[in-house]
This record gives sequence, C-alpha cells and structure tokens, in this order.
Amino acid sequence: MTGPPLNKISDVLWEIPESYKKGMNVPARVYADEELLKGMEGAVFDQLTNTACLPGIQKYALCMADGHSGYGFPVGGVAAFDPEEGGVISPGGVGFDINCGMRLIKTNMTTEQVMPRIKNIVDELFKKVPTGVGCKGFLKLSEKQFKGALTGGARWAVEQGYGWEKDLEFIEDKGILQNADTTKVSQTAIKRGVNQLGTLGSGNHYLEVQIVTAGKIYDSKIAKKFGITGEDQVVLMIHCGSRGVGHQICSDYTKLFNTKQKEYNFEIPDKQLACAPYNSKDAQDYVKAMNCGANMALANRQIIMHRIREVFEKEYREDAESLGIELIYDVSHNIAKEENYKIDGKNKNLIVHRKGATRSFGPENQELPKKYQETGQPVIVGGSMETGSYLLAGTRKAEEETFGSTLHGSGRTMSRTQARKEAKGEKLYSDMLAKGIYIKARSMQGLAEEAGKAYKSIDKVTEIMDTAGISKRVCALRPIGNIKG
Amino acid sequence: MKELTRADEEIHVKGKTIEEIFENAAKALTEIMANTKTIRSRKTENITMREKDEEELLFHYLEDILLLKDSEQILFKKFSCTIKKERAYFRLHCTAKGDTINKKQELRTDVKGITRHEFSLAKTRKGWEATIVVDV
Repeated sequence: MTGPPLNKISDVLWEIPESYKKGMNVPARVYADEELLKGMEGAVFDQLTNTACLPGIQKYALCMADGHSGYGFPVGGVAAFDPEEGGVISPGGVGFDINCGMRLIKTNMTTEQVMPRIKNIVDELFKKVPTGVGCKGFLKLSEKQFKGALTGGARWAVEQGYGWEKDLEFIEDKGILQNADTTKVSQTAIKRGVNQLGTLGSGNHYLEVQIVTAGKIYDSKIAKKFGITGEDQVVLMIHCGSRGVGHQICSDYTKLFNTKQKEYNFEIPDKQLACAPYNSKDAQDYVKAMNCGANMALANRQIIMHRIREVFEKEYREDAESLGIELIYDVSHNIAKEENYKIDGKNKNLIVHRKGATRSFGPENQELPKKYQETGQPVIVGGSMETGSYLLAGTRKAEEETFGSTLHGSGRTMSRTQARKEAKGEKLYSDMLAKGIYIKARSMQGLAEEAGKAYKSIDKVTEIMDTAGISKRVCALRPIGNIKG
Repeated sequence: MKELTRADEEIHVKGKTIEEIFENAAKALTEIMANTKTIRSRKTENITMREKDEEELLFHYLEDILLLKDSEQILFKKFSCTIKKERAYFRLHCTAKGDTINKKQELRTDVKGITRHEFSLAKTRKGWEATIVVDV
C-alpha cells in the first residue's frame, strides 16, 4: 500500500507519526481495520496530516471509521486546539454546512400501522418539506424575523409555534447556541438563507421513515432509555443543515482568514484550512457568525419536525402527542465548540472541531439531559438510503480518546462521478421499491450519487467504533420511506 | 487524474481565453445543479465585479452564481464574459441568461459552496485551465 506509514496501535486504530510530513505538530490517528484502511483514498491521509499542521492542535488529528476526503479537513475528521497555546479555529474545519446534523424522532407506531400508508405519508412529507436545488421554505420572513432564528435557534422556532417546549431538552445545547451575533453575518449570507427555513436541500440530505431493524437491537436497556421500545417501531430521521446562510458564512470567513495568514505568521498547507488564533477578534467574529449558522440549522430541523407532526396528524387523524412523535435527540456533525478535556493531567478549554463527526459524550456528562445521564448521549449515524442507519450511545472512552467524538455516517467508497457511472437513478428507484423502500426524490441523478454501493458498510464502520469503545451500538434502523433533493 | 475529493465534486475546465474559462467554469458549475439544456433563457442578469487577481475574480464570480441561485432562485445556461485590466484590478462583466428554478427543469444536486481546496487558475501553452472543488 502506498501512502503514509501507518503504525498499528490496535486492530482498529492506526497512527501516522508526526515525522511523516514537515509541519505536523502532532501525529494523526485513523479508526479503521485493515480492510477499511485499504479502501481509504490517499487524499484522506493528505487532508488529515495537513490538519495535524495547524497551530495549537492537541494530541492527535483524528479520523473516524467513516473518513473520506472532502476539502481542508477530511470528512470524519476531529481536531482540538488550545487557545492558550496559539490554538485556532478554522471555518474549513467546520465545513460550509455549519451544524449539518441529524435528528431522530420516535413514534409509538409499528410497521403494521405505517407500511400500508407509506406512499401517502412520503408524498405528503415531500409536499410539506421542500427539497432540492434552490428550494424555498413555506415561511415568509422579513430579514429582522430571520435574524431572530439566527440568534434563537430551535428555541425561536418553538416560540413561533413550531414544536413543543420539551423538544428543546433533547437537542445539543438545548437548541440554541448563545454566543451568536447577526452583525457578524454578511448581508449576502442573510440573502442566501432568508427564504430557506424548513427546507432539506439536496446532496446526501434526507428525511426518512425508518423501522428498528429486526435482530439488531444490540443493547435493549439503553435502547429502552432512548425510547426504542422494540423491533418494528417506526422512527423518523432528518439529515440537513444551515443551508445558504451557513455556506456563505464559511465562504466569507475563509476569505477573510486567507488574507490574514501572513499577519498571523501561519504557513498552512491548504487554503481551505485558513484559520485564525482563537483569541483574536477575527476568530471571535467567526464564532459569533458560526453560531448564527448553527442556530439556523437547529431552527430548520425543528420546523421540519413540526411539519412531520402535521403530516402524521392529518394521515392518522390523531394528535402528535397520542402518536408519540417525540424527539430522541438532535446532534450536530459539522461544528466547532469550546469543551473541557484533561490533556496530560491538565484541564484545558479546547476548541473541538468536528467535521463530519458526532459528539459522543458518555454517562454522567453534565451537558446531557437527565434522561441520558445513565446511558451516555444518543449518537445518530445516518447511513445510505439503501442500507440504513444506526443509533449509538456515547462513551467515557470517547471523552478520553477522541475529544468526545465519533463517526457521523457510512463514509463514501467512491466519488459522485463514479457513483453516477455505476448506478442509474431509475433502476435504483425500482430496486429499492422492490425492497420495500418508497422514495420521492427531486433528482434521479442525485439518487444515483447516494446509492448504497457508493458507501462503506454502515454495519462495519459502527462496529469498528464500538470495538474501539468510542460509541456503543444500540440498534440499527432500516428505511421504509425517504424524501430527498 | 488524482482524486481530489470523494465527498464533493471536482470541476476541471479549459479555455482558449480567460473569458472562455469563466464561461466554461460557470456552465460546469450549473451542470452539477441542473441539466442546462432544460433551462430556458428567459431572464438576464449582469454580474460585474473586480478583484486584484484573476484567480480571486473567478472564485467570487462562481460564488455570485450560487448567491443568485439561493436568493433569486435563478439558474443560468449561457454566460458571456469580458475581463479587462484596470490599473491594479481585473474587472469582470458577465451577461448571464437563464430562468427561475421550476419543475420543468431537470434539477440535480445543489452546490453549497466553492472551496479553496486545490482551487487553481493557470495559463498554459494552449490557453487556460482551472480546477475547482465544490461542496455539495
């Protein structure tokens, strides 16, 4: 195998030494077994070792088992920086889709109740939740109102009537990132996002009706705590982010930071890794803008959940409370957050970047709602629409080893171009229908890009992280209906 | 060709002139989002801007196309560019023709942003070449 030297730490953990590349400040570590490692493309290791060159990075640049190449950081990348040691924040380490994340919603319904009506339900969801290129939401907001969402997040959405107060308890940061300032967000970003609340977007974003996979409840005690009552229970999963406003915030601050690299005396190996010392005004401005983007994503997923409740209420002529449509958890997988970790015996306040990686806090972490204090947090891992998804639980080991982080999805095995060559949207649609998965997609080409074969095995990548002790498998979830852009 | 990104999309374009590169890059960007053959030329937008170098000009021009997609819901199929050097700046004028996003168009995958990862614009012996990685 060509590429960097990979020293085996365990069957599921490999290390690239600091000496591999000039400028690396720490080693890089990859969670994978030999087979997964062989499938990882060279660009993942380039991007991961570039990340290891950033100022103030602590311990390791990390890549989770779903890792694949993106831009700047690899997708599945985790890195933590100490501001007291010149540590930075990098918009490219967060990604364009700020606070892209997952939301898992339980119901008290079973396959038997939902399967006969799945076509109606999916068609209605497709009408109520706009998807695809340039889609607009149903809310007509003034810029002033939209700014309320940027500072208020899911709390703002609930205050507008889109959801229940108790939903907020089950969202990271209780549905609102406090340090958000719209004066740090450009007018261009506002213009791009003002009409997009309540929309999914496209690419790998989706809204899925799922069932708990038979024979794949791995920990029934934790599953029960999370609200998973048994096989065949129907749940819903949302995957989307901050839409145009988040994308533009990333663009604006990457541009700004690139003009300042000389002033900061940084020599970064990739312009998309442009960063600023965390304690600088530029960095703090980005944090306040990033939090606005993150709040947009929280409000967005909250509004989409409200639409789901409306669709089910109409279909079953019962209210959402009696259908048990309640939030299990909402997690972010593109974000930078201040978190405290013990590094070499010393408590440090670090800036943890998760780019395609999910927070994985273990039991007794005070950030978690009371309900999950015993279990660790629910970690929602979205797989391909063909092969399904997973619900995991966070661990203390993650807090010790990976800055409280784990994987976020399956990870791609092939580029979108390759996927389009190997899968045809129409064929995929009919194959999936035959498997009992009804899809409404805005684009057949987009469908082909998301074919199951374009992704690693979700069973495998979640097993690797489970074996490593970073997140525990709770249950697998299999799609029966899906809407996407 | 070396794979630059597995998660996102790469654009590689060539042109005899710098104007052609700008036109081809914009068309390639739009082709990721829609089949441009299904977009009608019913709306015209003029995009003008200036930057200190041609690479930055290309970057911000492509970002503007995304802005128009999100804020005005317009996708373009034809781009006609002129680029002039004005003292310390390069000035772009582009006339873009397209249409509001609608159900008759064959829409594909949304582009979230133009990344700076491996972004390049270079003069070659035969003309110009550019590489662009976009987040989808």
